[in-house]
Amino acid sequence: MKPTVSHSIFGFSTLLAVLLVVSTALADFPMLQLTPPNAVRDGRVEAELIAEHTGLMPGETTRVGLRLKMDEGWHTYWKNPGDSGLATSIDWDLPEGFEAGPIEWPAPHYFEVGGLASFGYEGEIVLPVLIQVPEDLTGNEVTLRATADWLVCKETCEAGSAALSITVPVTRNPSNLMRNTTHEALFAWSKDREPERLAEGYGNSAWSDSGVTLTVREVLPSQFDPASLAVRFFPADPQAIAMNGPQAFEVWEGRGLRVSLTNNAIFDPPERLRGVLVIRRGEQLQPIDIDLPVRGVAAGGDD
Amino acid sequence: MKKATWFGLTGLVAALAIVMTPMVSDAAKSGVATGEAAPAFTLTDSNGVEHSLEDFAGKTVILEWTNKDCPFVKKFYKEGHMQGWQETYTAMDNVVWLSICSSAPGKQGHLTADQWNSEIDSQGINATAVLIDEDGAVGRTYAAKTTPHIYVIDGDGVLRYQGAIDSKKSTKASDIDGATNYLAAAADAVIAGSEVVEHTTQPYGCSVKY
Repeated sequence: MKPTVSHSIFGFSTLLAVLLVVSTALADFPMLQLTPPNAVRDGRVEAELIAEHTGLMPGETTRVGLRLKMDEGWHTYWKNPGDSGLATSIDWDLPEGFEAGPIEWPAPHYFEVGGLASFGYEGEIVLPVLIQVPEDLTGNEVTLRATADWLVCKETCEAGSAALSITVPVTRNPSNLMRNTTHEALFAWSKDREPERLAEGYGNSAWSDSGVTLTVREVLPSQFDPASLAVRFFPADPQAIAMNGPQAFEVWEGRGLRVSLTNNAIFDPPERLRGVLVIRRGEQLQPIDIDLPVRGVAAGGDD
Repeated sequence: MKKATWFGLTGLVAALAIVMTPMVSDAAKSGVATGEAAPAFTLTDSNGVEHSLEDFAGKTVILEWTNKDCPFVKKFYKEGHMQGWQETYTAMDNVVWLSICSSAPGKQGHLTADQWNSEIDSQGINATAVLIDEDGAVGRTYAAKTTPHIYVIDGDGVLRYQGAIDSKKSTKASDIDGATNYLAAAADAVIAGSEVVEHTTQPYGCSVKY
């Protein structure tokens, strides 16, 4: 019996997937899809290293991610966890010549428990990391290892940890590199939450006794439904503003936004405002990377 | 005309400006800046004895917010670090260590006075007293956000330190030795009558279970 073309492609990709991780193959048989064999569960969280592509190439970068699946109602934390909590960390143990970059933190959610702010994630997420592959890599596959540590909280908190590994085929032919279909949706989720740098000269920030303002220009489309708009600023520095304080926003000069943030009463005014401004228009998410000097603070600033 | 329309739209949208967060309760909202007078309080300890901040005038007072089931608190108790510091400071003249629990009834870490006394025995807690703040009033006044959260008050009633217990944000006891101990640095400076260099730090830990 001669398979159809689509069957043969399907078969080929499945074969590749098997080479990558056995768990990938299980995705084709939903009945068998339990915990992927590379995944480790510790308490409320299932953790796994996943690869964006079906292989990696010597001399290139490859994107690997820490997949975390939290039990319903539980959340893990962003790089700035908020008033309490702890950022998830990845301690890599890579073969000679490999180099891992920092976590490419997806824009977080805002949680509030007992009047305190938490910045983090619930459900199933991925924390992507770009890894540089050495040029002189030999062999047909390589195993990447890491220990992940996290704090997971609902009302209460639990520390979790997992020693993880992933074995990825090595290829020297770029046409062998395909997106790992099993995890495509998850990497797309993180891509949607990747902050885009605000264009130079399109933002400013000012401090006064009544609060910190963040103004950004030309970030909204020329037409949008104002009722669908929601905005929140997540500071990278926990001391810059009162993280659980009210935030208000208004549309500014057509396509801009002015966000009013609450001063942190305990710390000195910030010299810079760094973080992520998340603009939500209905389903559409637009995270913007903010790094601006704060006027009215720095010595010689034009107050 | 076109410009007017623009303004009209902007004005309309501005009028719709939405406050993102409902006004939060005073929980951990404002607090007191370091260098200002520490807020007065009166709380009852696990033995039914009332303690007021003013009772300790002339003494250095260390406040430690606690929740025995929080992983960050366990980090400092399971190998005896916290008990050791409590012992060191309470052995000094004119130093008082008050552990305060602001967990609400039914929330994690809430204990009755009797349960606290059992906990003090079993954990070897060496605080001067464990104060029960189950309505969270004192915690809110101090803007205590995490467990642990440390405050050091001098003999004049001035808040001289607030923030983290140390510099290494983790739940691992193995991180304690390599960290900068903010609590000890602040307490030692206040006891010696010198300036606290790092007088305000960002606390880390579990949220206080108000």
